Amino acid sequence: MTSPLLKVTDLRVNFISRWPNEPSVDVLRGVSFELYRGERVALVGESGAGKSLLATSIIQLFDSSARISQGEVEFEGQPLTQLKPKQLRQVRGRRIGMVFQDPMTNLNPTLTLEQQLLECILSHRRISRAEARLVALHKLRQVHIPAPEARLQQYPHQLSAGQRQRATIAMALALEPALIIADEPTSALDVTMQAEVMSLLTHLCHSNGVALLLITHDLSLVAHASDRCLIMYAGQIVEQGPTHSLINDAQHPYTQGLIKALPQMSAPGQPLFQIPGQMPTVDELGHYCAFAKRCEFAHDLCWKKAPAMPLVNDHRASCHLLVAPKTHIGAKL
Amino acid sequence: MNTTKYNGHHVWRRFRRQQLWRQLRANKTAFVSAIVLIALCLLGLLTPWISPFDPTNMQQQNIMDAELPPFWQLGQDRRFLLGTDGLGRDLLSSILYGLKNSLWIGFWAVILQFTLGTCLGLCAGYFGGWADRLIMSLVDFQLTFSSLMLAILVLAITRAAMGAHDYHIWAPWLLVLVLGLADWPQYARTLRASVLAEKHKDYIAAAQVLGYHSRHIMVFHILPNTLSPLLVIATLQVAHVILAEAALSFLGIGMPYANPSLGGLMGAGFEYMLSGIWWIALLPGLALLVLLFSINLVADWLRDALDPKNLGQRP
Repeated sequence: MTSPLLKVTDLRVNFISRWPNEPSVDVLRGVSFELYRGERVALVGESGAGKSLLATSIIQLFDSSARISQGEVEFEGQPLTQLKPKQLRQVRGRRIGMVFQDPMTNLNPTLTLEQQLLECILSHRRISRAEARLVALHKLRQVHIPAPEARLQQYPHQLSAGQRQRATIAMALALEPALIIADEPTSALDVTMQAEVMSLLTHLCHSNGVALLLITHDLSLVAHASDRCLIMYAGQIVEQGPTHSLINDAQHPYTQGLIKALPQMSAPGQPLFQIPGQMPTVDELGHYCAFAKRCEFAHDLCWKKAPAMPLVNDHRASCHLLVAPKTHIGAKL
Repeated sequence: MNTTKYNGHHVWRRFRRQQLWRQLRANKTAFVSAIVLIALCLLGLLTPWISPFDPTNMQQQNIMDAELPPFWQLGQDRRFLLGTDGLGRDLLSSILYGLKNSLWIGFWAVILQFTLGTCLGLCAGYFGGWADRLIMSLVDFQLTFSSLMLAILVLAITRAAMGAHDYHIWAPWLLVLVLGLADWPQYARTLRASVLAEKHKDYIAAAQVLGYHSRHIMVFHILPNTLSPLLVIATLQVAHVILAEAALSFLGIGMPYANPSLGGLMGAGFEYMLSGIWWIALLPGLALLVLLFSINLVADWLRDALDPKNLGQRP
């Protein structure tokens, strides 16, 4: 088996408390996963689950009050947490690209597209300005921006939201990185645009051999945009596995809930399913299952210790039910 | 258009200028005041060549010409268009040289303030943490002093320490230094606030992800997006500095009388006011008034023109 492109091992991130004597609580609580070359992995979870924090932790782009308390992020065999700022800058952009959520703010409003694209290309590659311009044009064509020569001279406010988001994707692709992290790249776009940008992103990553870490809260996007799926809840990965088997055969009650909460075309007029309650805050978390409070199958064991992550079929889920399901709640299931 | 040329500032400035130009044409008050301001600046720049006399040259002065009235009064001398002052210097030449000195001090002091305030404000906003706390404490500390009081103190001491001759030579530089160092906190505060708003936007994070150096991000990505309010402050500050310098000169600790600024001329002329020789104080005052008024009107227009809300309305 080849070595993973990105390997996150037991990553714990906390925020330094404002008050000196207050203990800091982990917000990411031991996240481990691997990502292989060319693989498209989706990171799914509701708001506040720690998806974006995980993404920014990987490239060390978080707020100065956050810090990695434990664990390791290894990228192409390099431990990212131990790199010096200069080495880190080499990895960012050159090897890992990022696409952000809001197309209205992800481009600098005072620079033309050409200036931004060339700046990005020339800062990492030793090629001439004319060559860089050709690369920029090529990438803009790849993301289906019409009349790229004219677009290069324009400022971000002259582009539509979809065009901006595509320009951002072009910018991330321009350096031919090994991994692109896309943080909810389509949630600010309208539905038709979403589908287009999404298919563009996944298709381009696939054809260029770029691995994609796609952060989203939309399971329906994930279904055809990813090979593998990580479900995140309260700072932990609760279930991971190949997308199709994860969606068709969800093991964790939270994943089941997420899938049930999708609007069903087959049942029009029915009220939508909701997972009751809310995600626990960081001070409510302890050494027990974080989902226990909202889980319809919760039993004594769930409140006593944190579940392990057993392998079920071809994916993993952290739930006590999977270890000894029949004895406890056989009747309920 | 040269498409291969990559110069962000050049293009940005040209872009803004086009926008500004159209807004300037639409605003008659601003247009007229801009023309007046440009004319005054030209007068100040060309003073050594267009001025009929050199007020700093004692050999051109004759005490017998003292206190002659301006041209519209009876019995005036054809040589002195706006009359003469108490030493027999041509008032028109003195006003032109005063204008030059005032503009010179205003310009360089503002450049100094702007540079200092911008660098510190940018660092405070971008880096945060202890740098922010240190710089902002410095700002608060400086704001507890009245800048004019501080200037009076410093100038009085240096004048006593240097002696009249050295002070005469160094006065303009000292004024630039004192007035420049006095007012930087305004810039730093304003810039810090805008930087804080700007640095959490995605394009800054994107720039960080793209691996740019933080210096590069500050200068090329954050600064152009936060420059507008600073330009307005800088323009207003030119007027403020000229006024402060005039006040100092009026009090007798600004520019030396041999090489006066507009404020110095007013101060000197004030002694003659009650003897009916009004022009020595009033005419430089009028020049100062027109200068400051035009600067303020231009700054006012600049504020409207650079308002991000106005920029946002463009298609």
